[in-house]
Amino acid sequence: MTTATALPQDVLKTYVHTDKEGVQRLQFMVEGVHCAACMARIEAAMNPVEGVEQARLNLSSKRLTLAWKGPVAVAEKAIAAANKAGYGLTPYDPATLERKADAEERFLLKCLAVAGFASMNVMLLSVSLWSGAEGETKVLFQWISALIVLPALAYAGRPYFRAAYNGIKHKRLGMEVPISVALVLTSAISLYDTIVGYGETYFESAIMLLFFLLIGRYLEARVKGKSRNAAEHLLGLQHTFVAVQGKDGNVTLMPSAEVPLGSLVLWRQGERLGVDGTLESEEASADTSVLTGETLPRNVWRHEAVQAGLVNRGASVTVKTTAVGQGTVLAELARLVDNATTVKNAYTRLADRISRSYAPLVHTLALGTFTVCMLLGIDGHESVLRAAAVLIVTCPCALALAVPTVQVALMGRTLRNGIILKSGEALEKLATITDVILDKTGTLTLGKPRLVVGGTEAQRKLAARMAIHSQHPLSVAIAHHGDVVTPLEGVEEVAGKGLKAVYKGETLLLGSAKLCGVKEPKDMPDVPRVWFAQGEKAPVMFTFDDPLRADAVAAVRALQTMGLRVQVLSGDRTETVQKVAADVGITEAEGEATPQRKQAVLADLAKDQRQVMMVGDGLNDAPSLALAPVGVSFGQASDLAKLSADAILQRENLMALPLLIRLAQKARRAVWQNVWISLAYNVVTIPMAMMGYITPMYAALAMSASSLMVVGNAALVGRGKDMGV
Amino acid sequence: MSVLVFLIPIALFLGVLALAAFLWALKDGQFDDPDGAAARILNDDDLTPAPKTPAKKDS
Repeated sequence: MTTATALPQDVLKTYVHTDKEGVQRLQFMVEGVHCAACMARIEAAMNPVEGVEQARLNLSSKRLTLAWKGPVAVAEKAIAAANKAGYGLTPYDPATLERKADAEERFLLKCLAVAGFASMNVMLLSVSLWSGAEGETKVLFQWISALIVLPALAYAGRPYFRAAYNGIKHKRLGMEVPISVALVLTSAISLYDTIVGYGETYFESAIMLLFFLLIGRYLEARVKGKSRNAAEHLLGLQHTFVAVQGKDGNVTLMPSAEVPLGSLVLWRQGERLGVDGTLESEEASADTSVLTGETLPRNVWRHEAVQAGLVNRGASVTVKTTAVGQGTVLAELARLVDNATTVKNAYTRLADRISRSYAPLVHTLALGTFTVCMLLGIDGHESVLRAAAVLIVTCPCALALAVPTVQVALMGRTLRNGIILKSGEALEKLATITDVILDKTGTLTLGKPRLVVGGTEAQRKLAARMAIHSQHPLSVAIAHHGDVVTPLEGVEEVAGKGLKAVYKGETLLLGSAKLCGVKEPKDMPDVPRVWFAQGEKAPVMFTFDDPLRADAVAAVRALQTMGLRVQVLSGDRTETVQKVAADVGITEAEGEATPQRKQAVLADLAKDQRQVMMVGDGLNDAPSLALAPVGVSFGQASDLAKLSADAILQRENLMALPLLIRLAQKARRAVWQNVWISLAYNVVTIPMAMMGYITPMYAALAMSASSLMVVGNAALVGRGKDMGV
Repeated sequence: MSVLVFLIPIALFLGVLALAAFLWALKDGQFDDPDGAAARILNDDDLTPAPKTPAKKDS
């Protein structure tokens, strides 16, 4: 499949950035990249183009930077080369996309590095302190520790200090507050002790604590970052330049959002339309994959509506603008998805729920320790130290690692099974699913046409020999209908209409009704069809249906055995929907459901406290995929559906659904095991800290041991083979 | 124990060196694409010599 997006030069130029040395750069979002092989292929295609300095694909963000010297034509050639290799490139302006989250991730990594450096060096000194360094050596080592730890804390502790400050400002007591208090308190007391030369110091505990916490936090940020790319992709499609035709016939370029309503827009070959409108030209061939996921170009006739996001696959046409910017269908859908996502974000993550009840407890315990110690007549310094010790040992080092480590490990495992999970939250919610709602077309069924009837065996065979020359989905269906056929020679493609060949003196035509000279009645049922004409004989019609996925029955049964309520909800005709549902063994089925109806069904289920997993692939599913607690879509689905979903099944098999739920349940068990491991550690150490028995060495040992156990447990979840998928 | 006067600064210096190297790598963009970097080492295409420099024979 090729996705040629040959943009006109003038549009391309608006995205180009030129640096001081005359090197021009373009950033692209790349469609169709899955793995390292894709990266090698696309770079191998673009780099040899003359004039190209470098084409480099970022596999993590699926973005490509093209650098070249010379005219824009160089870039055009490089883009064409990438298209030929099968990848669609959409230029974007990096300034329009939010880079804040990227900066945040980088900041965390810097903090992590500093904390790691400091803790390693301080540990080196601490070992000698623990093993009984005395006198001047002890004082020297304590001072060096202080000099390393204090600046490092000030630098690397910022993510926590900031969050704690914001939390207090908004009267929220998050986990960051006790962490910050403990960090500040311990280092302050340790500094005081170092100055007056009294007792032990806790520098290494403070910095180690921060180091472990930052690991958990960085892992979490990485997981979140992966899901951002899809949203940015859609955003990038909306910011584009369009060629507006003036009254005098001159064409001017302007940003899509500023095009006056009613003006004529030139929609050139390969260009993505930037506005909504109606077609002014006679006929156009439009790629609607961004809206429908349908890869097959659709014919659009004069006065028919076309939407922003469509790509022109035929000749240049003119479009009369009816809506721009936020008024377009694309923007409206993006808004629907956005709203639904906000609703979904009301969900409280497990880690937050634990820490929310945990934080006040920690503060009470520390305060209680201090008060009781003072009442018992223990001196003030020792009391503060014990309270700080309680804060340190209760600080959820292992707890902070408990959830993210499991999620990262399990996401790696689902990825090996071809399932992309977009958020850790989805994983948590998947474990508590009670209902599964399936779409019909493209979900239970393949969404790919299969030839059912038409013509005689000989005609079908002849058609197949022609069809093998074409990549059109209907042609593919004909070509693969029967036995392997030998391609017919001399087959020509009639652009946008079909195929033509001469065989034994007869003209063969395969394609639209128009091509074969057939006048189709107006009330003809809207089924996928192709006409075939052989010489002077009356043309015959081939029709197609949409077969069930091979594993649909097995997957539905597996879901039902897991005790889940499975139903079908589709926009298709009720009869068809009920028939398909019965075929796979589902009794509850509803057809003719609009996107609004689907959302209403979800809202009703939410009221009954049911956790729903919604599976769909079409544009009309997107809002409900976003609204449902868990939305699942397919690798071949429309961009919007993929954007709205929480999980994407790359391998197009439904058996991945029960597997996904089973893995999520496994992950939940592992998370809770981790929580218990870290709590058990606290149950033992808190009383000891209160009584003042915790020496720095034991605290550090126990802390590391519990963290290691938690990480090890998470790693176990990530291992193992999942058969049958 | 006077050896400590040398050893501790050396240890710290090496640590700072490592930290500086990491921060430089971060700023240089070497951590921008962890997935891609992991895959790139398996890619042999860059072994083909640049157009103007003839390939060296294995010795």
